[in-house]
Amino acid sequence: MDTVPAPIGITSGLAIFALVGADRRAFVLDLIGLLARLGLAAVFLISGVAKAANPRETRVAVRAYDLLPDSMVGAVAGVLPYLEIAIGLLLLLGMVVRWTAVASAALLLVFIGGVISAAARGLSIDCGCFGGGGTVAAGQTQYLAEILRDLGFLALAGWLIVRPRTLWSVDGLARRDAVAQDANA
Amino acid sequence: MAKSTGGSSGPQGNGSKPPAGKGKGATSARGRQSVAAARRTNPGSNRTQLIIGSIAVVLIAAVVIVGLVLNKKNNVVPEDNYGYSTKSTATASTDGVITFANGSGVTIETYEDALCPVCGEFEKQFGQQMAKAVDEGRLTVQLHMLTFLDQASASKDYSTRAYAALLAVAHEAGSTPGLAMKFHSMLFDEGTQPEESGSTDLTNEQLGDLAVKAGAPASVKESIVAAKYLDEAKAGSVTSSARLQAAIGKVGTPSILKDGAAVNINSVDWLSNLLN
Repeated sequence: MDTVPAPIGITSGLAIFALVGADRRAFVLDLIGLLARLGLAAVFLISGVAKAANPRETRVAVRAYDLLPDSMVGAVAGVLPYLEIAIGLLLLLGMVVRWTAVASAALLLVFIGGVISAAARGLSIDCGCFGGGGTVAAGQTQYLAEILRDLGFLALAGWLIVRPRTLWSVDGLARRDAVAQDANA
Repeated sequence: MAKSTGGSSGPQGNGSKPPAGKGKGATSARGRQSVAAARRTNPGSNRTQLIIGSIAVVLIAAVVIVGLVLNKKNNVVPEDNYGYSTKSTATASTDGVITFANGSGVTIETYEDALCPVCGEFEKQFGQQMAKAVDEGRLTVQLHMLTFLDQASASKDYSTRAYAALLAVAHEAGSTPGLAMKFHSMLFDEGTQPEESGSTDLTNEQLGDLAVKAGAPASVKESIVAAKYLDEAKAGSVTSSARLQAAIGKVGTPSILKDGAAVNINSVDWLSNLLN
């Protein structure tokens, strides 16, 4: 029994049915972490690319929040999409997951605060530029949906802050490396 | 390369991974504890994490810098300092389409709502380039004003009233060189265009004053104050909405059509490309 090799990474994925107790539980948690990580990565990549592709709308949207001085609107609207893309890439690769998750959560909290403030002031952030007059009338319910959606994303980030270990991550490679070095020490 | 052995490592052990065999639950939990302990103390692990962290920082910086360079290019204002149109004339068709031209040239259809903030951004970036191209006889602009943001204005009908004011200028003084197109540009100027969902907008009196400031005679202001073209504006926006919906499947502003197809105005070169 001293020479049973330890399943790691993808091997443990294939060997799930051989796992019991704590091992199996850890694998399931790692898998949930992976899903949370990839989900959050998709959110940031999609929203970042959409913002980057429509710089004019992004600028208007940032200005519409009325929370920044005019001189800063351009800078924030310029950086934000690419910051989101960068966070999305880091999550996709699984690099420094805990810190990336902290950054994601901070960004989401800013968004949620902005949307709540916009809803409270009766703004139509997307300017009703798509979908005609109905967009404005339906504004309130969309804000609620946006906030709930962002809270869902925040939960994903929260999971990764509490438990950043996930399957198939660059961090995981480093962990494996550490274990190997440790074993050889 | 067996990385670990199971069964014997405690919290002070050397961080081996637990085995996967049946009945090893308690043992593997201890094994994982030792892994965690090793991760906290192992200098190799710290170094690897430092490398990953550095790569992450470099990645963020690279993405943001590339983004800012792209963004800067896309924010260029073509023909900045040209100012308002000086040579164009305006005609208004029976279905409310206002045509700015000086000769002929490439024809585009523009769809805008006077309150739409993105239209304001669009006009600030490309208004001067369009004015210059029209003045030079290289471009004809068929302007379709929409009014779907009326409800988002303080007066609940600003988009329609601004459109009616534009119709007044085009109908009654459209032959004055530059005037109607200049008035149209002024409606979107910083400090003039009302904020969406803002607390104020322009009254008909103020719209009339703006037309006079652009160079219109007092009679045009009287027509604006009397809301003479309000019904024409209402009908025109319905016609134009339907036309845009049919062409691109949605009603959104600003939209530019060329030969009935949408032009991608996110590219800073969209107009230069059409003119060449």
